[in-house]
Amino acid sequence: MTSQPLLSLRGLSAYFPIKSGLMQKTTGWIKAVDDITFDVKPGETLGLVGESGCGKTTLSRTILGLRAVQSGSIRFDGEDLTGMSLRDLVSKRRDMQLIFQDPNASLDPKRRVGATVRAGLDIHRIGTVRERDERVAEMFARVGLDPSLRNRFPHEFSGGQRQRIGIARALIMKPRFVICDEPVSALDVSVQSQVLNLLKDLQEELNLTYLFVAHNLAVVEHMVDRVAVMYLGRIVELADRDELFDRPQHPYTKALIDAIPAATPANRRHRALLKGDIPSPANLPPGCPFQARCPSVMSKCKEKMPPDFVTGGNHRVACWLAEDT
Amino acid sequence: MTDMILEEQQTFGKPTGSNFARAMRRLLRHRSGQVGGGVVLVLVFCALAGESILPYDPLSIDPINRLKPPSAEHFFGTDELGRDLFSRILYGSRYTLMIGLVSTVIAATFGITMGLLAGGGGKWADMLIMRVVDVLLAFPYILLLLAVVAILGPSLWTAMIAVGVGGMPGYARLIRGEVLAQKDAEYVEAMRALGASHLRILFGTILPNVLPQMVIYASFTIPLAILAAAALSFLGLGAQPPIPEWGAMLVDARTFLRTAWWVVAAPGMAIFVSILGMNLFGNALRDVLDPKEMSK
Repeated sequence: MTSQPLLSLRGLSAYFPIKSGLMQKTTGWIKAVDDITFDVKPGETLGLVGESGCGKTTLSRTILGLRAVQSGSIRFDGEDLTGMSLRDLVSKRRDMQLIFQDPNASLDPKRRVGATVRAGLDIHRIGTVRERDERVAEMFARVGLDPSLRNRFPHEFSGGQRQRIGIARALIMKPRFVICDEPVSALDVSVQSQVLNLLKDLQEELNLTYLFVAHNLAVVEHMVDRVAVMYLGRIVELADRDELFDRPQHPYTKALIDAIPAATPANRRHRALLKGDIPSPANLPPGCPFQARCPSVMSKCKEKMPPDFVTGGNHRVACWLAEDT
Repeated sequence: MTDMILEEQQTFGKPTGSNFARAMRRLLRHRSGQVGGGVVLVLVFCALAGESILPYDPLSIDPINRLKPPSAEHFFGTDELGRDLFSRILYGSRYTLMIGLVSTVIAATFGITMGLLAGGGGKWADMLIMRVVDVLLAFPYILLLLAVVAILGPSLWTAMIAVGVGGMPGYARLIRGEVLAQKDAEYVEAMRALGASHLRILFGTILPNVLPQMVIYASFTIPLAILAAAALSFLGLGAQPPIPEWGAMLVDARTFLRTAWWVVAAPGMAIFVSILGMNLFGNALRDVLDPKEMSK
């Protein structure tokens, strides 16, 4: 595992200004993504989990250059994307694609699905029109859709089929890095596994690297190599999948894993469920963002933000509890 | 019976026509679509058929038969110069339709472009364009039309341009709102993620999605445009005599209101019926093109 990371984030932050008053003065910031550092190695799948509103989606959009970066750097394939001109960024973006969460909202309702899938090729003027159409047909077959359905409109498809179209739209650009933004959370359970297996097969065939955003840990366990746990805009724990599921260290991760429903009552674990809501990201107290809900909170947690402690190889955790180990 | 339904769902045959074909089918079943569509069709037919269907020459003067009441010979009677009113009304339909269409096309083209740029072109473009729109809206409508005609000189064409200018702000406002609503939709973000340019997103992705609303809006503004142009003609600033434009005919007729009601009634009723028909048609169109109804 000495290969150069495909994507590497260093201290990446993306804030949204809070504007108020007549003159729309900026009175504060919502730190949607705060000081995030991690690498994604070529060919791996990194899972990104966290509850709603923790900044998963903002992070994925920021990596793609769809949201402004406050500070930090995004290096893709050795090149720094922050501060790149829009034109360069657009051409770079061919290598990074996004699969959206809700296939009902992410497909243009007025556009035939074939044209939607072809859009990327049209934008970057790849090949002749004929070649583009051939590639669309190829891509349809590859994601398990009949190529003759290209001239239909999105509303004529089922949810699973629409998500396949969304996948085809992203993969037709032959990207190396794909961000899957909760690709199955809007689908029926029966269809979820089909789409997940399709994503896995495509990863092998096309040698893709995934950043897999999800809030369903069962899905994550099935899909990923490593997991990053996000809470209020920060990565609180990052480890190999088995390591994280077997030996979670951050109390938030423990609570998340305890919340996975067990298939049989006999397997039910002792549950340490969280109380309270996520505090408003607009005015966080000093110290650890998790302090208000943490079952094992210490006085230290209320004073200083815990740094990343690296324990045993690839396991990284931002919690004072890990200080001694 | 159940077997047949199952079969239908399982096979991927040709879809049952396009969205357009489906909308048209429902338009034909819609009551006010039938009535309004009928009126509009008659109007279009009269306008296209031209002189061949007219019983008399709409411009030829016949002083002996002046101000004749409606009869089998002259369905709508004759005017003060003995011209057959029925022929004049039929002939005038082409001007009415032309005014409605041309001025709406002018208003829609400029208004939609302005609205798209205001909604999608950033803060400064928005400010600038919407202030222009505000200025246009601040004028009383007729006063605005008079100003444009005063600048360009009275004629049928300047009346159309004036009505077009008067209609622009409505389109600009409506489409700006639609653009703002659609701008952050996920399918727009998807295009952005693929690297689409601003203009491609505005005109290629957002415009097709707001166009149905524009069609509906246009179906309501065409009759308004016709009324406004008729008003301009009535003030002597639109169509000039001897063009048998309905508004212009009303002016000439108003002096005979007491002695020869039909001279006023013919163009008045023509305007009334066609506006009513178009409004009914517009209502039906709105019902039929409603996206929620689309999948039926």
